Amino acid sequence: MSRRRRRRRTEKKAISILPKHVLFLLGFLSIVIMFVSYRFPSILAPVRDALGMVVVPMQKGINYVGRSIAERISVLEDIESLQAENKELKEQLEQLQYQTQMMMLDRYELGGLRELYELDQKYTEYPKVAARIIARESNGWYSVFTIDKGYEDGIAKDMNVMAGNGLVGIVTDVRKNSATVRSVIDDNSKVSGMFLKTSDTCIVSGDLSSVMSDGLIKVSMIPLNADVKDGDEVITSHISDKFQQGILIGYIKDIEVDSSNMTKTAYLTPAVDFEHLEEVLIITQLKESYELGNQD
Amino acid sequence: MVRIFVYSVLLLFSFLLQSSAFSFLRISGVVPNVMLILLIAVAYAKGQIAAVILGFFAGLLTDLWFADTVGFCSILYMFIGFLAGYSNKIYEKRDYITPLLMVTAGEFLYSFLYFVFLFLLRGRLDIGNYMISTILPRIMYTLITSIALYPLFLGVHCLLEKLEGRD
Repeated sequence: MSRRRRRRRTEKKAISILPKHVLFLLGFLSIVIMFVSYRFPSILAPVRDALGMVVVPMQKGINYVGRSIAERISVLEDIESLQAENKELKEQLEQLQYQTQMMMLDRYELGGLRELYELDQKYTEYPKVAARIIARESNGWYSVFTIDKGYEDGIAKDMNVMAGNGLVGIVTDVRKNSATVRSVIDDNSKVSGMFLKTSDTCIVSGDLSSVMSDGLIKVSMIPLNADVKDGDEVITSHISDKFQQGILIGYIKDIEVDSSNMTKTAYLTPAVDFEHLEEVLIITQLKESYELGNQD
Repeated sequence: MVRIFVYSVLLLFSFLLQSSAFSFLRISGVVPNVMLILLIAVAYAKGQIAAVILGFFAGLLTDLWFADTVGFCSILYMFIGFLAGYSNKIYEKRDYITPLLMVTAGEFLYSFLYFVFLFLLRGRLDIGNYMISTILPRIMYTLITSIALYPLFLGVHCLLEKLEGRD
């Protein structure tokens, strides 16, 4: 009896699955998935869609609750500081109203000049769709977030994302009811920029270490002879194949000549407050289609 | 069956907590790694196999939602689950210190490997800066969160044990 039992036990051990087998098997599977998703990104689209159907409604719910709580708390904030801000803003408003009037005068002139140059189409407003941020990348290394609009709402890959009048980023992945956006402060992000004043081009690249310490991102490849100074606006350039031209990225700061003595490097304060970003606008016009339309 | 269902729900709960709920409670730009806390709890109470499988799906969930290339987080979570699973041999229901220590070590390993493979290999060499600005706050925040969440995950585990014992 006992011998038989022992044999049975050893037999059982021989068949039983060891943890390392599971690890190697699933590890191998992960590597396969990694290669497949890298080489054929569209294969996983249905899986992502299905996941979106489950997760997005819940994320929306959590977001709604979180936002309403945050609003309650912000109402309780010091009234005095709000009053001071109000006063300041009123002064600013007066100044701005005066400025707008001057601008309007300039605009009439500009309109006439544009007609002369037949450039008016270039600066027309882009069609936009509003969306809410419902989730953020949680590893702490990347500035990627999810919005609550997907291809059902007409969102497509490579659409530009704005907030206020500044550039937020670009749509990198679209599901049925949600989409993933990579912001310009993300470590992988590179945008071709241009100085509004002088039309000198540059490269605006996200950088985690400077974003974490000062909220700034890097600007490189500024031509050495570019006549730019701190506070100048950087907009998206005409060179970029994905970003529409003329969206404000931010304001330049700390310009330095490179050690190579060929170009200048600087930092940029983004025009968008990424810390408190809740709602964004997606430009539903892709750059390629726009250019195609222009050619016709 | 019940266990698989319960763990799936817990995983989804952790994912939602991490990606949505905690984005309102960011401290110095980071959120705690809630899925890692769940992984350590399962590894400690249930052992290696359960932890490796859970780690695989946890990573898959993260990557499917945020990354273009799917699978890297799976390997990280699985690896940590496998290592943490060794502690199952000294599992003690009342012992809260061991899992908390493992959460700290696990989060360090996770962040460090993430940095090495996705940042260092792209030529971002300033490890000291990343250590202070991202890795350390994250470890601290995850540790503090685990003090609140580990008992919850352990409670669910104990409830399941009771349920299965009765069957």
